[in-house]
Amino acid sequence: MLNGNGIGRHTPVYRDLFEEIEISRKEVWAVGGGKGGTGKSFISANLGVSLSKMGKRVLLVDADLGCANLHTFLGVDPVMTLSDFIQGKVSDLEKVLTKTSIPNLYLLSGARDYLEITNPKHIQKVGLIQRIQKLQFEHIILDLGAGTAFTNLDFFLSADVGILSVLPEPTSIENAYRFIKSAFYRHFQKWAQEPLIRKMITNAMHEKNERGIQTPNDLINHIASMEGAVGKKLQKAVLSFSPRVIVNQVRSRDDITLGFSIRSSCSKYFGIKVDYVGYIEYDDHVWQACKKKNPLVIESPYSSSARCIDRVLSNLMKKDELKLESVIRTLGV
Amino acid sequence: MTPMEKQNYYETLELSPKATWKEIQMAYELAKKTYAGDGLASYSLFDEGERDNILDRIEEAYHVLSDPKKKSKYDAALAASGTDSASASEAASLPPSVEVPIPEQITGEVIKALRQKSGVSLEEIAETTRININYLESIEMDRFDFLPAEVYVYGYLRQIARIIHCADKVVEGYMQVYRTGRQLKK
Repeated sequence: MLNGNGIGRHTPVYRDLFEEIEISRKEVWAVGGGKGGTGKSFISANLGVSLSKMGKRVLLVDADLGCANLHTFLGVDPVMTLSDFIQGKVSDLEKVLTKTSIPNLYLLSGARDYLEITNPKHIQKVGLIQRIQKLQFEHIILDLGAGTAFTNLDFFLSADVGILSVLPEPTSIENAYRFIKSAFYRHFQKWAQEPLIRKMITNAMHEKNERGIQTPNDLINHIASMEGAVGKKLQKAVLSFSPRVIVNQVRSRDDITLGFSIRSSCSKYFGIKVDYVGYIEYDDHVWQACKKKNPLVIESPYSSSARCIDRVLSNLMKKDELKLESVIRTLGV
Repeated sequence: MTPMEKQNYYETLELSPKATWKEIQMAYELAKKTYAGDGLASYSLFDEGERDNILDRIEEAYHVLSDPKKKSKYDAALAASGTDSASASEAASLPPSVEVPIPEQITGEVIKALRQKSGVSLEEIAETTRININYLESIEMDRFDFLPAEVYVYGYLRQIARIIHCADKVVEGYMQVYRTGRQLKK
């Protein structure tokens, strides 16, 4: 259970990182990543706890419908879950919120053991997203499920900031790219109203197509050259799609610089800007905290991985990213 | 996003036109690692031919941006074409052009002098090239017994020469000194 250890006791590093940060409006962050086991719930829980330690009113939403376990990271046992709301047992979403033992931190627990809500109808999903966004919190963090199902993509795209958790492993990176590609095309299609353009986007999603469009970047350039006004609108859509990447469980210098390589590859292939907001070191403190059902930043606030979380949070709040030069200077990469 | 084939050298290396010499080095090393055959971040997005094409562009960009004289000309051309280019003040961040008289015998001391003239530290070379710093020190101190086989030393010298911008004859000259030194030890 949570013991409150470390609440409000910020290290000097922590204080420096968050100086001059002020947030006046609500921000919704979504943590996804394609593959299971990349640390989405771990990251969501610890970002949420860290924000609440700063005095922010925070809601963590377990949007992993069907496989929810964010409550375990927080050591709480929710009485009501999203399934009660979706099934209409409760009409007021606020009644589904679970108060955690950390001041200012609330949990909207995902459904367990009810298969139908894993894939809610589109109208249910839109309604749920709107209701969640209306809840009175300064920060809302959506912890998404694995995979590229429309539910995950729509939650991801509904957020102000989309965060991808990636492991330095081929399978994780492949799935992260798949997720980016799917989210990117879905985002693109929402902006494009013209049937011809929508069809073109659908065709582009198939690897082999008549127009020789190989990458999303090719698609953007093709549309821009073909339709002046539409091209401009869609290029605006591209600029508004800018996911953040966290490389989790890094064990080597190459793992750390992998985030910069992902940023570069996304820029060249997708034609989008991906911000590398930080990495989290592989650390035994993480599984020890998990076993105790206590968030890492409370269980071991001075561990190297907890400090990594602080840096990631700082970059997310400042809308900044890691700089290659500073990483090389500090780590001697 | 400008298509790759239309990108200028700064865009290819994902650099600001005001990038310092050190930033150019780092961007180049990262780009090489990213698009190498076993590059974890790129293999699933680009096939081998595409990665080779990207690497060629990266080499071409680095060849110009890492050489103060070529870079200066390139910046001027960019400015003339109306594209953002490096500011004049940035010239100070680049290693000074190395134009020192080259003696006939290229010992490690000469390599050291050329390196110091170019304003690059041994640590920076080790960082950029990943050559063990003990080897770099041994080259400059003519400690031939501490150096590996000739083929490796030649490779090291080529990399060092590229960073400190010295001529091929310096590399060849040092290799002669190295061979003589190794033979004498035998």
